[in-house]
Amino acid sequence: MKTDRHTKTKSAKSGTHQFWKLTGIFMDTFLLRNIVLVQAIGLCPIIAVGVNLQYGVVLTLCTAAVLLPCSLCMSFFGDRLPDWLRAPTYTVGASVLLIGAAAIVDRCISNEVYAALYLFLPLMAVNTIFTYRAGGFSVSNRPAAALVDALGSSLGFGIVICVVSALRELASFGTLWNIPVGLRWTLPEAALPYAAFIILGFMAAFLQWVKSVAGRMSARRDSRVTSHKAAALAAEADKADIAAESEEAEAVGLTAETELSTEEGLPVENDAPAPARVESFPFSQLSDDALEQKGGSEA
Amino acid sequence: MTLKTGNAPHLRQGERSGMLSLDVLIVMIPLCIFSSFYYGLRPVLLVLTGIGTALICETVCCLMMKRRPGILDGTAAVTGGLVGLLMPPAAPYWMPVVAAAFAILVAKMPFGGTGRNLFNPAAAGIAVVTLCFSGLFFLYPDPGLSAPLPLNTAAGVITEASPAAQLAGGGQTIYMWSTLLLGDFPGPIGATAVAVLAACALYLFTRRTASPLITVSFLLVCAASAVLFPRVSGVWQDSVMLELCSGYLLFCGVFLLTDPVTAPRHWLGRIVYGALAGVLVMALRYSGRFEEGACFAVLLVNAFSPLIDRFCWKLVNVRRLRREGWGQ
Repeated sequence: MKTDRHTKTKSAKSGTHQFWKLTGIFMDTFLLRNIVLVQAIGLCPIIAVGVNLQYGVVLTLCTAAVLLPCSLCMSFFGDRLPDWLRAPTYTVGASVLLIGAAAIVDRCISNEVYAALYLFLPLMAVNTIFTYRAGGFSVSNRPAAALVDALGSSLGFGIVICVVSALRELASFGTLWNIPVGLRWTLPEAALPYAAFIILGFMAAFLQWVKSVAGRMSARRDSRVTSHKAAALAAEADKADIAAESEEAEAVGLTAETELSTEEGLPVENDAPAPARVESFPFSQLSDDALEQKGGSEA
Repeated sequence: MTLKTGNAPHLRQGERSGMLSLDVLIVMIPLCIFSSFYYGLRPVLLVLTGIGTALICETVCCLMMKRRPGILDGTAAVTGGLVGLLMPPAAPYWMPVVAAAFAILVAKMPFGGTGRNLFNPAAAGIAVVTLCFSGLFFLYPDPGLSAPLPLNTAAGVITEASPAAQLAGGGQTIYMWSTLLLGDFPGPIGATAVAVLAACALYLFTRRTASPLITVSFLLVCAASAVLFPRVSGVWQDSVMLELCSGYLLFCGVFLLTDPVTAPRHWLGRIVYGALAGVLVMALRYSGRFEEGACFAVLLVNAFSPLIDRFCWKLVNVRRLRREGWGQ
């Protein structure tokens, strides 16, 4: 389909602008609209096998190893495929890549980890992460944006599964990375799915709180910048008025206004220059609509 | 017609949600007193521990959310009291603390506090204790002990299998009806004295704090299930009495299911809700992992409560909706 081909041509914007755009996309899926905690995608492996930090790390590496090439490929030729063929393409591609990843986990990493992950390693091929990122975002975006988005999604998923797995491992077995930590009490039922749901709920709430605090700090900083600019403009206007008055006074012949103008000039010189505002830095605009325009659309 | 929206519990003029909670708190007092006849002061201390923990957790949460402390509406005290009444009399003191803390901090406050919780907090607290500490939770002391339970630690107390455990294990002990009505058998603090529970239920029904439709439909379905699928050999009356009086089934029907926030509002919805809860409780008894899974049944049926309400309202008003168009 030729829907968004024209948007994929390289724009003539500066490299810094492109860098900040890509950073915005990364921070969007990694943190601000975290793939698990905000978009609620990819919960199944976390709930089911997120009980050991090793499993979490292995699943993260497998997700990254599969999502990055899939997203890149779908970005290159995904929009040339008909709609009905996109889902089978990235699913089959993910399955093929997972065969390789599973072989590597089994032979090179650990046999026990591979056995413990049993169903959920091949189940990553039909995880909704691929549907939304490889099949959704990457198809209508540039390769660089798709790659950065895939990186953000994998790391976002990875950080959540690692935190949940570490907490559940500590709570249920008293170990971390299979090394006993020395806890006096353990709760083996923390390995059950309900504990994962509760932990995920609280992590999502914590992320919303962090975003609200960051938004308030950013809004306060913006209002200080705005008030600095307003003060500078007001001071310049006063200076212009006083300069006009002093011209009139000179025309009349008075000399006292020259001292007044130099005195009025001092506050303007002492004002700190307003800090440069980065337009595309994600934390300055936290509404979902603004993020949609920034991170979701084509750079 | 102007419709007013609001959060549960929906109160008519002249009521305050504190009055609903006060009724339930009043009714808990005779249950505690009755249990103290058998076991001494320990059950009362367990209930007070539950209430205290719930109040502290609610205050801390309200301060964190920058709200006025909401303990004055009494719902936290009710949650803590219900959690305490479902404890075994020989429970360690940390057990009602864990249950009440989970009930308030996980099942009530994250959803928005009083009137906004989706699930019964007391049932959630009991569920987590059942799941995590099932070995301790189902150890009930013999009520025929001559000495009251020790107040500090009851680790060395002799315990007996409750009637629910005997039913689950295939035992055939038949209790006399007087024993069952007076609560002279092992069980949770507030769930054994069936006669006192029935009186409490009547009080709550007449004060309109609890809906009788829910409790009656729940008990009818449980009784029907006991008649159709008895777990004891003998007359059907024995099966019905044993099933209804064992575990905390009756307590669940009177206190947990009738929570005004989580129960449906429509009269047909309440009947369906009670019946569904009865089916789930008996199913969990017959084939569940624990001897009494009523708290899980309550949580499951709470999830369906809004759906039941909406469906029953549409069913009853189908003629009016057809006339006015299905614009709902």
